[in-house]
Amino acid sequence: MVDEKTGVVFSRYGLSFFRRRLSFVLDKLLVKKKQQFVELLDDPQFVDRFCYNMSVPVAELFRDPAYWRLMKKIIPQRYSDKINVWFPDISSGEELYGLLIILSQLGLLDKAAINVQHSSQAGLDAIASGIVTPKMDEINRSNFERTQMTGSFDDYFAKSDFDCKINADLMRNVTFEKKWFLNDVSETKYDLIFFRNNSLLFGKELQDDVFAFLHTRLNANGLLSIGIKDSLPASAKTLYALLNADEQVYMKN
Amino acid sequence: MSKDFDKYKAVVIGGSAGSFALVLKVLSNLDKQFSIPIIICMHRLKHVRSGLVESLRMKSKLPIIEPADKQKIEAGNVYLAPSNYHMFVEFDGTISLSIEELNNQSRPSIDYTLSSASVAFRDRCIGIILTGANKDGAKGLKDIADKKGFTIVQDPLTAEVDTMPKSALRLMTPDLILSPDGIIDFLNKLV
Repeated sequence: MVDEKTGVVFSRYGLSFFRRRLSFVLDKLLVKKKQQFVELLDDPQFVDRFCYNMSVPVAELFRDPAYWRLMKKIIPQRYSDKINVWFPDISSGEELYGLLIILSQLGLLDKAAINVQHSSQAGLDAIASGIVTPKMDEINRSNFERTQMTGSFDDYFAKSDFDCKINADLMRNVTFEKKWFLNDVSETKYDLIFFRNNSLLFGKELQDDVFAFLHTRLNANGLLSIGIKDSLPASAKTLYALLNADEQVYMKN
Repeated sequence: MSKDFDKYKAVVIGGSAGSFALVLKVLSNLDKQFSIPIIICMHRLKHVRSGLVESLRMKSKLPIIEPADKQKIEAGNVYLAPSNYHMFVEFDGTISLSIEELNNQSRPSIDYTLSSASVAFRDRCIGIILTGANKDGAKGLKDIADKKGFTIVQDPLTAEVDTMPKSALRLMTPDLILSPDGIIDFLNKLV
């Protein structure tokens, strides 16, 4: 029933993750009883907030600075013309903002077309707002330094008493789509797909399908980034060539 | 003791401030025939990916693995929760990782690792809480006790920081309260 109402196949997520996350999200959304939950699944606004929270909207800017340092080298080596980028199942904005800052520093921002998808409008709105939580300010600034970016964090973010927001102009080439990525039947292909830490949520069989699907959406020699502790399933080993083992960057075979 | 050795499927250890030296001591003094998987969740620096595993490997008689998601738990190995990831034990004998919210201001959270092990291994799990500066791990150790697993708390008098063992002792009564040498002796008698 949850799959049907949300359009997301939560039934194929990791069982222990799903149970744990469901309990956390229902508690957060003040849902006390199963029957109440069943009824709320008919409310599109509840479903949207449910999908947003199930997506684990937790991140930090430039998480794994070594990965971003690598991307800073790889991107200009491989792409000098148009770059098609996909964030198929992004859970919060930080991964996107990190890429935008790097593309800006490389002078490639206007050569990039970036598509961001999320299963909920609340998720898309949060990402499009450009806001990073002030609670993460120290970590975000530290990661910015560790990524060895030129300039300062404050060149890219405006900080007020209430929030910290990325310069909106950096998002000029980003399009947002409310869609769960496996329901995307378009045939658009991408040069870079960012899928870091996303597959941690999935069961093994769903992982098999997801990595096969992402392969079909990469251009020849396109790159797939997964989290440094994600596992590429055995079924996908022939689909991708390892470009960097430490940072888990793969190239389409 | 060979009967006990056969019984247990995992030793799950949690520690925070001061626990690195203690874990190093335990791993360097364990019998190299020790084959029950050891699963360790230690609070560690969030942004330092390397160093800890390498340091443990230098002294440990057992292989130290910082697992990837869905990695199978195998006899004779030591699994260390990666920096900035929660680590869970699954029913199918694998490890899963997550970047969910901090728990007890921590990621990895010791409660998460111990509680998941209590569900996966029930009474065939040994849980150990070491020195540390917050309460993380106390609930997880109680979960192991509630499933009839075997529980050990480091004697707070021997702990570099006693908050973690004292938090566990406030919440539950372990099977044993042991010094570091006592913990090593206990584990080696399982071989």
